[in-house]
Amino acid sequence: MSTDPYDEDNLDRIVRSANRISEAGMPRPSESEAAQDLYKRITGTPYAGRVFKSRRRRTPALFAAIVATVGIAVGVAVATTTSHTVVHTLSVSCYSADSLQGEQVVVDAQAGGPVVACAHAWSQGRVGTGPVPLLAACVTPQGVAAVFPSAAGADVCGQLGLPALPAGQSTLPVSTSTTTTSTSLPGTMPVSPGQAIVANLRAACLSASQASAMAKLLFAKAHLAWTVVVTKSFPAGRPCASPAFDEPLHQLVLTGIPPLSGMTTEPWFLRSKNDRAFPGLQRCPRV
Amino acid sequence: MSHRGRAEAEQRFRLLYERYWHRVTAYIRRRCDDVPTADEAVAEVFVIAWRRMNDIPADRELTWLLGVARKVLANRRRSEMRHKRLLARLEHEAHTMSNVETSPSDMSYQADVVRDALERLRPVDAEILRLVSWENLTHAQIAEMFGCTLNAVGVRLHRARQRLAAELADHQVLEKKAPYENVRPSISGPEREQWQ
Repeated sequence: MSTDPYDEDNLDRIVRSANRISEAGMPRPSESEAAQDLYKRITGTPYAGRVFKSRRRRTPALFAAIVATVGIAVGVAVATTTSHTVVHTLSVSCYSADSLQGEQVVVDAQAGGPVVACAHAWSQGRVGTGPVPLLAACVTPQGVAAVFPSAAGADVCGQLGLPALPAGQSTLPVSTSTTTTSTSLPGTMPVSPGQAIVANLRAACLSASQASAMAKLLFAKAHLAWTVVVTKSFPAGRPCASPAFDEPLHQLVLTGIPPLSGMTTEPWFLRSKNDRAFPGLQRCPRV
Repeated sequence: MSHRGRAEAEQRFRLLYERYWHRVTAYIRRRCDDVPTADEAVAEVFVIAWRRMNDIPADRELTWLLGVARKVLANRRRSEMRHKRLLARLEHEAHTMSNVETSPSDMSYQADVVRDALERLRPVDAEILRLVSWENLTHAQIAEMFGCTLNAVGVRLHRARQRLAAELADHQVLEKKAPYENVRPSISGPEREQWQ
């Protein structure tokens, strides 16, 4: 048993044990009448946020009804959907499973596109646990960009009866062709190193060494003590680095995936120096 | 504000609220024993956020909100609620004293001792320790919140840990007492006094 109060880890554990309010036990706004009342008082409109599913309350009959309803809805969508246009341009739905019945988290759209936005949310553990999976972007009949985890080569959108989001189409109303996302993504909006790494690895097929160099540079610029780990050499059919962020260990783990649609083969750091701007990595002002 | 502008602002606020209401609420309740007061503070934070949506950096929403919450709590501490909080604290301490007498090795006792030790630290030292261990903020997020460098956060955190460790050692907290008595019941003399 560790008894040394000067041990940092031990001390942090001690402080953590004095925390009376567990975040996991806190209700979300959709589960709290008080939160919804407050929202209405502030904005003047009723709260219409994410609806959380409670598995404990879900009866088999209700579940079957939901499955049937969704099945019918998907069938109708398959039969009638002709538009590939994203109508709701400011948000993206990130699904935790390749199913419309999976848990979903709504995130802000990013200039890099829905996949980048959801990859960032995955990397923060907001959608699911573990490394960021391969993601596929589809469009719902309501015109919302929906991003699902996917297996390599799988047609998730097709399986769900949804049109795939055309490559290069962003949800944000700005120009974001796939060849420019890696460098123009930040634009005037500061981004974190994590976002920049995800965006770069989504935009270009980088080898392990190229991705490692890029990530180390971004971490160094942000003065973050993260390490980059390449699990093993990438196999022939999976030449492109994909990031997974291990927050507790402060490690970026790079694994190999097949090239994604819209990827370029030219790493950003082989382009002109003018492209190497990464806003958002500016240093804190001194105090 | 145009209809479209308001709709966009409301959508962004809804996302902000959905993501961070529980974190802001937890942050405030950890620092405010009185639930109605805490709820008022939460409301104040989100009213400010609604009014200043354009000022909230897109990539620093959480730290911006927690920074506002910190200031709201500080203002409230300086206001008329001070008296009520003092009473609440006195009640809390009375409760702690009863715990000391009945179950000195209980985890709740240890937690009370740690919270008291945090209260005795300089506010900024206590806050940085809480942000790391309670809010799970990274050093970079703390630097954003305080408007300082990462290096400054590292140094401040190191010093805060040292000061807390000294407080806890002075208080003879944790395993030093009960567990060692159980393991080595036969020790005596100066060696035993070391653990008293």
